[in-house]
Amino acid sequence: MLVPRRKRHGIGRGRSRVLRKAVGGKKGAMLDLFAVKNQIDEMVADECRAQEDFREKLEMAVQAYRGWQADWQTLAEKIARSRTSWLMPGIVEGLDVTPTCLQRPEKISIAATDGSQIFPDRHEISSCFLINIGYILLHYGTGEKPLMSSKPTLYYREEEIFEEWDGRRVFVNRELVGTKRGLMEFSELAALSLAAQEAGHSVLACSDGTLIQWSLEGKPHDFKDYVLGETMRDFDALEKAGLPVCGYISHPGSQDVINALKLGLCPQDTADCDRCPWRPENQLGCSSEEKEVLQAQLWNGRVPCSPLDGISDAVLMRQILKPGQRSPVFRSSSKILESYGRHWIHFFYVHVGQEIGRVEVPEWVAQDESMLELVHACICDQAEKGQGYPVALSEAHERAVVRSADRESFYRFLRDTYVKNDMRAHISTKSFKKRHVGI
Amino acid sequence: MAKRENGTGVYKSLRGQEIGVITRGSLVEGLEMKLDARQNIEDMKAGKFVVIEGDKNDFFSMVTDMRLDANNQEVLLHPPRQEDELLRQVLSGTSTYNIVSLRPMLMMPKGADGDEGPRPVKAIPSHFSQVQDAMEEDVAKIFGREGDEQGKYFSIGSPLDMDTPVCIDMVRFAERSNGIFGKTGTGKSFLTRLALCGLIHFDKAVNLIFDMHNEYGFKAMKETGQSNSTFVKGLKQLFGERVAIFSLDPQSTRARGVQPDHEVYISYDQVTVDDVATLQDELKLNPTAVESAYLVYAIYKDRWLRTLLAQEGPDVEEFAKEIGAHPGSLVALHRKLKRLENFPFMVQKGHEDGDVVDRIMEYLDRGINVVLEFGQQTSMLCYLLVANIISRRIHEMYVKKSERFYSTQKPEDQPRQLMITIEEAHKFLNPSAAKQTIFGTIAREMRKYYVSLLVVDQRPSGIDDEVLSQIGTRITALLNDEKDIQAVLTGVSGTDGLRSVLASLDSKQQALVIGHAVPMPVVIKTREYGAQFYRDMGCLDDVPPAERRAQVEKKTNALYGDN
Amino acid sequence: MSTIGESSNPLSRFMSDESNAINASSGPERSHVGEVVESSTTELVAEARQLHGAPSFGQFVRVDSEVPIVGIVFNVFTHSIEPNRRPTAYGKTEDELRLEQPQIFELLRTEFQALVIGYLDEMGPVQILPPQPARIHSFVHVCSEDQIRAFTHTDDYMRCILNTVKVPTDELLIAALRQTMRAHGGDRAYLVRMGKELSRLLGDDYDRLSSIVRRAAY
Repeated sequence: MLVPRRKRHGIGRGRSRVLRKAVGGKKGAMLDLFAVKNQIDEMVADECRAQEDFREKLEMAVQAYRGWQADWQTLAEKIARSRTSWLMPGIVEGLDVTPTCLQRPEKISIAATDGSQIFPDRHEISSCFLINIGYILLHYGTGEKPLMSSKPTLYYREEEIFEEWDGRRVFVNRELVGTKRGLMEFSELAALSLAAQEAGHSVLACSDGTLIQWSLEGKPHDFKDYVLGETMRDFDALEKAGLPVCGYISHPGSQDVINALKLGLCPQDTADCDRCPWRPENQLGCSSEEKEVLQAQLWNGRVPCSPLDGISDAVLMRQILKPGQRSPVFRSSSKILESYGRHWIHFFYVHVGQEIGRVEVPEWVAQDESMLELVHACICDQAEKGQGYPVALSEAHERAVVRSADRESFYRFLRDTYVKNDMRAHISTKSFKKRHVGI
Repeated sequence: MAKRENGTGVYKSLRGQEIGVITRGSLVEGLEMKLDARQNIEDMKAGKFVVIEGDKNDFFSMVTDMRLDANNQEVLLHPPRQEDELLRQVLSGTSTYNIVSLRPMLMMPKGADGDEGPRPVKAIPSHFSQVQDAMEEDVAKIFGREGDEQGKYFSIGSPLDMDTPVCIDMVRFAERSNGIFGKTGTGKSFLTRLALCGLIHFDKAVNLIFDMHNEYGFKAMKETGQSNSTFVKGLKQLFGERVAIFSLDPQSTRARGVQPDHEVYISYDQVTVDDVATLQDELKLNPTAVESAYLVYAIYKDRWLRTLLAQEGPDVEEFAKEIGAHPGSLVALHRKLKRLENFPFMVQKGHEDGDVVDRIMEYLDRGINVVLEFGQQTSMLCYLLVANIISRRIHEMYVKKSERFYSTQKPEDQPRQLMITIEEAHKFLNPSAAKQTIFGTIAREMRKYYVSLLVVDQRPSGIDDEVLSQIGTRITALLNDEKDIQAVLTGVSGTDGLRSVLASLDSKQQALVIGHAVPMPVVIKTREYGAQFYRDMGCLDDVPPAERRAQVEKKTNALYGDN
Repeated sequence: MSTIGESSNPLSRFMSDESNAINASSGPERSHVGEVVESSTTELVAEARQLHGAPSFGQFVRVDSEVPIVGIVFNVFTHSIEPNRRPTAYGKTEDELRLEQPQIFELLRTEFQALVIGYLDEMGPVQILPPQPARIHSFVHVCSEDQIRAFTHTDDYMRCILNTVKVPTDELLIAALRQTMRAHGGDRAYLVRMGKELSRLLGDDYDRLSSIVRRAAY
C-alpha cells in the first residue's frame, strides 16, 4: 500500500529536503522504505497474533510430551503400526529419560571439517569451480598445538565440469557442486579423524550438519549409489576404527518428535493419514451422524492432530530439557536411511545452553552407551567453548569459508594469470555489467 | 712539536693527554680553553704550565683562572641529586663545563731547533687548538737545562705538577738587580739562599750578603712550620773557601760553631753625614738635625762624629754656638747619635788589621763571597747603618775600578760582577730613603759599575717605584696584600692573569718567577734544599767516604789529567 | 604427535604449508625470530616465528636481506589473524586456555615493527639507511652482542631514533641504551659517553636528558 507521493510531499518541504539529503546521491537506487512500511506494520500485527497462538500450541505439546513419558511404549507401538504422511521417529529410549551430560574425558581430540565453494559461473572467464575444505583438529587436555588448516581444490577438467548421470550429460550446477562438497567434507572428516587416531589421539569426529543425505532422494540411481557408496565406505572405516562420529545441526527445524505427539493426538487407534476420516474427501461414504461425531472431534475446524502444527522439536525440547541435558535417542525414519544399513542414523536433542541442537549419530554409536555419552559430553563442552555453537565446527567454517571478497580475488587472479599467459579472456556481458554499472 | 699519524688517519700529538681545546680569546686578554670532560677541574691549578698546539706554533701558556659554566639555566636551577652520579658525569663537559683561562707567554714555531728559541707571543692559536700538559722537553726548551754546555742554567724548582726542573739563566740573573719577595714565613730566605747558591756555584757574580738574621753563612733553621726545627747547611758549609764570614758579633758567630773569618769594627770616622741621613727614620731625626750634622762635618770633616759624641750634655749647646748651628737641633742630634756608642763594633779609630771595607774588598777581588753576620746586633738601626757604610764604600771602590776599566779596557781590569744582598729592603729603598741611600743609587745605575742588588723584602709596595722598575728578575712567594702584588708586577706586561696566580700560591715552597732571567713567568715548586742539592753544589760532607774519595779523584783527574 | 617422526606423521597431509614449513625448519640452523611482511626504507614489519616470540622492545635486529639491514624494534603487537574476529576474555590462565581452548592461540599473530637504522657491508656497520628496503619474507634475527657493539660504537643510532616521529622516542632510547649497555659489558664509561652525545642531540632539553639518563641507568 503505497503512500501517495503527492501527500508525502505535502507534509512540508523542509522535512522532505532533510530526508532527501540524508538519503544522498543514491536515492534513486534505494528501496522505497516508505512504500513498504505499512506492509511491515501489518506483518508485525499478524506475528503478534501468531505468537499468542503459538504459546497455546506449545503448552499443548509440552503436556502431550509429559503425558506420554510414563506410557511411551504405547506411543511407540502406535507409531510402529500407523502409517502417517509425516516422518515418524522410532522411539528407542524412554521419553522419560533426560540424561545430563557427563564430564568430558580430560584428553580428547575433536576433529571437524567444513567446506565452502566457489560455484561454477558461466558468465565468468572459466567455468571452473573450487571447493575449499577447512580442517580442524583440537586437542584438549594436552596443550598440544591444534591443527587448523584449509585446502582448496580447483575443478576445471572437462569430466569434472560435465557429469553424466542416468545417461544425461549435465553441466555441473550448484546442487551437484553442493553434493560433491558435502561428500568431500565427510570423507575428509573421516580421513582426518582416522589419521589423528593413528597418531595416537582419542578422537571424536564432528560433522557440520546432518548425516542424512536427504537431498539424494529423487536423484538418478547411479548418482545416488555413488554418493552413498562413498559415504558408507567412510562410515565403515570409522566403525571399524571404533571412532565415534556425529553430526551437529544448529537451530534444527525438524519436527520428528512433534510428529510423534501428533500421532498421539489422533483419536484413531491406528492412524492412516491417507484415510484420515476427518478430511472431507474421506467422508464421502459417511452418515451425517458420523460426520457430526467427526466434526466434533475437529480442532478449530481442522483435523484433530493439527494443534501441534507449526511447533518444532527444538521449541518443545527447550521446555523439556535443562541445560546440559539431552533428549532420548530417536531413530530417524528418513527413507534414504534404508540404504545406510548398520549406519542407520539416530538422533537426539541437546540443550547446550544457548540453544537446542540436534545431534545425529549412526546406529553403532547410538547403541554404544560410552560412545553416546562421549558425544553428548563433547558436544556440550564444544558448545560451551564456542559460546553456543561447537567451537571446532565454527573454526572449521572459518577456515573453509570463501567470502565474496575472496571470490573476487580468485577471479581476478584467474584473469591475471590468463592474461599473463596470453590466453584470450572472455567474460560475459552480464558479468561485466554486474561489475561496472555505467551511467 | 711534531705530529705522527697513528694509523687511524688522525694526527695525534706526541705530548700527553689533551686537556682541552681553545674556544675563544684574544691576544690582549688571553685565551679561554674548554676543559676536556675527562679532566678534573681540580687538577687545573693556577700557574700550571700548559702548551697550546697551534697550527704553526706551540704556545707556552700559564693557567690563570678557571670558571664553572653551564649552557642551560635549567641545569643550574635543578642540579642533579647527589646520587645521580651518572647524570653528573653525563652533564659534565656537555651541559656543564669548565672554562680555564690561559695566558700565552711564549710561542715557538713547530719543529724549530735550538737556534730558533721561544719568542714573545704575537699571535694566537686558531679555534679548537689542542691544549696539553707541558712535557719535560717543553720546559727544557724554554728554561734551558741545568748542566748544558753553556753552564749558565740553574734549576730553582719545577713547574706545578711536574718534575722537570725550571732553570734561571744565571748570567742574565747576575746582570741586573733582582728581588725576592713574599710574606713573612713563605720562605724568602730559603729562596734567597737558593739564589745565592746558584750565583756562587756558577760563579757568575761575587756576593756581599748583609745577613741580618744569620741565615746564610753557617747553619740556618729550616722553617718547617713545626716546633722541631731542623738545621740546613749555610753557604760556608756548602762552598767552604769560597765563602768568608765576617761578623759584627764574633761571640754569637762562634756560639753557633763557626769561627768568623773576620771581625767587623767600624770606626766613628768611617761614618759620613749621609750615613746618618739615611737613619733619619730610625732615629727620628728632623731635617734640621741633619743640617746640623753637615755643619759639624764642615768643620771637623771625618772626625765630625767622634767630635760630636765627645761633647757631654751641657757642652753641646755651647758647641752649637761655636759652629753656628741651631742648639736645639744639635742637642737632639747629639742625643740620638749617642745610641751608636752602644754598638760594640763601633770603635774610636781604625782597627789594627786595617779597614774592614778594604778587607771585604780584598775578599771580593779574590772572588770570595762575603757573608756579613750581625749576630745579636739585630736592630734595624744597626743593620741600616752598617749596610750603608760598607756598601757606600764598596760602591765607591767599584766606581773607581769600573772607571779604570773603561779607560784601559783591559780584560784583567774588568771588575768582578758584585751582587749585594740586603734584607728588609724597603727600609733602604722607600721613596724617601732611595734618594739618599747608596742602594737607591746602585739600583738606578744598573750594571754600569758592576754592582747590582739582590733585594729581599716582604713589603715590596714600600719600595720606590723607580727602583722596582729596575729590578730584573723577581722571585715571588705568596703575597696577599693587593698593593704588594701590584708592586711586584710593576713593569711586567700582561699581568692580569699573574695577579690571581700570585695570590693563590701555596704559602710554602711555591714561587712565581718573572723577569729578565726567565723567558716567561712561571710558577715553581721550589727546589728541595737538602742532601741532593748539597751534592749538586759540590759539597761532599754528607757523602759516604768511599764515594767522596771517588768523586774527588775524578775531579783531580779532570784537573790534572789521568796519569 | 610428538612421538611420531615428521615424515611419518599421518596428519601432515592436513597441515597448512606454513606450519609444515615451521615444523621442517625447527632445526638449530634456523635461528630467526621473524619474517618480514611489510617493508619500507625506514621501517619494517615482521611476523614473529612464534606467538609472543617477538624480540623485545628496543632490541637490535638484523634482516638477512640483500645487504643485512639493522633495525631497532619499536613496537610489538599481538592481534587476531582475522580482521572481524577479536579475542574475548575467558577468565582463565594461559595454561588453562592452552588445555581447553587451544584454537585461540592459532588465531593470534605476533608482529613487530623495527626502525631501520643502517646496514652492514663488507667493511662493517654503515649508519646510513640501506639503498633498498628489506625484501618481504626475509628472515629477521636478533643481533649478536658483537654486532650491537660494532653498530653502537657511535651515537648515530640515537640520532636515528630521535629523528623518527612515530615511535615512542624516549622510551625507545632508554630501551636501546640498556640493550647496548649490556652489549658493552655494562661499561659505565660507554653510557657516560652516549649520555654526553645525547645531551648534544637533545640540545637544551635538560629535563628530557635527565629523565632518559636516569632511567637508562636504572
